[in-house]
Amino acid sequence: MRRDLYSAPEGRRLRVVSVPGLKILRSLGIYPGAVVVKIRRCALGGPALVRVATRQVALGQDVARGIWVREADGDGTGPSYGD
Amino acid sequence: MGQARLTETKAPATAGTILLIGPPNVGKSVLFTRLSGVHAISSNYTGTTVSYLEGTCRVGDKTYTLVDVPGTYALQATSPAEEVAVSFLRQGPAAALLVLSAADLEGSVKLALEVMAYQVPVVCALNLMDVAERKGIKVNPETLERELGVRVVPTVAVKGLGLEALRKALDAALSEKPAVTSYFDQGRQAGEALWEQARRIAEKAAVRIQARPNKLDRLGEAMLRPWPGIPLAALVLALSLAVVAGGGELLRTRLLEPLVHTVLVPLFERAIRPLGLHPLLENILIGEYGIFRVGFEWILALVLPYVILFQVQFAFLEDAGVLPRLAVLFDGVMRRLGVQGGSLIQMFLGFGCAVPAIIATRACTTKKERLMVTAMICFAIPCTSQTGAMLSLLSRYSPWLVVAVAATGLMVLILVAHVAQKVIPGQVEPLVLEVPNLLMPEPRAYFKKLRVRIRQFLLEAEGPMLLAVFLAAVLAESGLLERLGSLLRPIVSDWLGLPEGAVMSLILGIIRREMSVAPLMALELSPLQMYVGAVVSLLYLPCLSVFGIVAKEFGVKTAVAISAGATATALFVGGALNHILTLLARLLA
Repeated sequence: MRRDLYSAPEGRRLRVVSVPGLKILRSLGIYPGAVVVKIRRCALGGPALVRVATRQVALGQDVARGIWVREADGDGTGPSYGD
Repeated sequence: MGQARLTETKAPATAGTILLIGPPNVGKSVLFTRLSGVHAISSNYTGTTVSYLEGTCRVGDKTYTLVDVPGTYALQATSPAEEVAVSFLRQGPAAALLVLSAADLEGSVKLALEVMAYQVPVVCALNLMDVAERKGIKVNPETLERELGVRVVPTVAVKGLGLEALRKALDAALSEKPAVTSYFDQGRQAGEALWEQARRIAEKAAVRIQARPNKLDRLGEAMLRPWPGIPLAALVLALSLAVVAGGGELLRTRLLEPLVHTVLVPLFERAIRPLGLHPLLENILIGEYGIFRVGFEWILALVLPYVILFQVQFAFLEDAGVLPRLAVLFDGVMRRLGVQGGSLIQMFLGFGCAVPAIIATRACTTKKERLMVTAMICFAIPCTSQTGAMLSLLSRYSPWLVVAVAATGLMVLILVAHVAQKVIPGQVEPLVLEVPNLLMPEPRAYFKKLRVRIRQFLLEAEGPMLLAVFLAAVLAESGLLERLGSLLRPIVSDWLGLPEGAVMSLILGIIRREMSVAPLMALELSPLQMYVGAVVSLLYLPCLSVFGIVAKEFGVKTAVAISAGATATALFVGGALNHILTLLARLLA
């Protein structure tokens, strides 16, 4: 099931389906096909915290809402050491 | 810009350039300090606002220029820092020294693959292995070396471990031709393929072990949650205010003011008075607002101690990884103001002095964000010397007056943000930020950074500050200031409800920010007058150095617009408060 990263469940491995045109996302390893782990959503409309491999990245609400993901558990090609 | 030349420096001719490249937060600067010793030159890359450090480094029997390339996650030329890194690589350096983070192997390896595409000799320093092990990742340097096909040397930069091995590896790499990597022939591949490649390598070289987070790791994690993050942030801010305001006051009153008043000013008086210059010229030089009096008083005694102390604690918070946590914690709030969490860092810097804060807005990703943050700083963020003066003045009346003025300032800040968001064209990009580990800053790299920062501040702010001192002297000594004062009397007395004596103090505030507060003390104001006076002084015209730096960074038009806007807001808000509160008081009486 596709949903946006901001509203995706916490603590799950998620496979990125599409990202908005913000180039730094790719530099940080967030691109279609990549697997991220959503750690949690910060309070007060704050950013979504995600782990990309072993990197912790904060994604502001407006960008996190533009990143589409689906659950990655069980599709078998995620990183094996990073989470 | 890709063809831009490396800035010439006075350093002796060297055998070539070694580029120190790595992602942010990897300990690159620490390694730079360890390899190049204490001497470093900070330069701006030609045609950009990106600055980098340059030093010399001995490898084998030769001396090389070591360039601390700004930290980047990629070489896609998507940001000014990345563009600079790319053009450094295109200039044909002797070698590239890559700093890899064991704690973020995949990202580091991906950057390494991008660098290796440039066909220069590459040596990798594998840093942060201790941090990685606490995170539960153990990296095998030999496997990494085999997979990457370049030398990999484990280092603990903060302890200086692995440096000799690193120099040896560099020496060996410099004497051989760069191996043509099997990954690319020319140019760069699409990001995805590179990431896949990096992940395969990282998976081979790293194994999962039991994570053992230490106290700092746990504290760093806790600081990202509203509880206890927000109380901790408040504590950090209160401590930093105490260090800067308290320490600055001490330095100013005990050391610098006596130095200025008993040594420097008399020295220049003795030198200038006997010349028998025209009285006006003499006053401009050494009169009550003369260049050689105000220049020392203002720059040396009033600005420097605060700015230096502010940089001392700011650089510490930055190196320790506290600032990104504040950005994450308050991103939701800042987002509602139309900016993003990262802007909080520049606004925080503005509480020290607006000049370095406005220089720091160069890090903003869009022009709109830069202008918005600059406007917010200019309108409603008091600098340290002003905060200090305000606190001592208002607390004589009532602590509630402090709260009232702060709340008024905050409301205006919100208003400015909303207006700026509507008026300034363009957009602001949302927060995208790597959260680094919390750590104890390494002293040598910290002090080096501090020195470079303060020197940069002096170089960048010197012009505007001297210009401000000169203008102030001419305005005050030529009598123009007084004439301006009498013109403004109706506004000050009738509209703001302040005694006539306040005119001079408000006008002086243009010259020295805290001067707009200090003279109010002598006027025996009512609490309402005090409140109005403090609000006006908080909000109106940024001081002349701020005007200077805004003009330098954005052009004179913007500087005039911001100053006029701030003054109009200050007078409007002050006057409105005066009339509304007077009316209320009458109704209640």
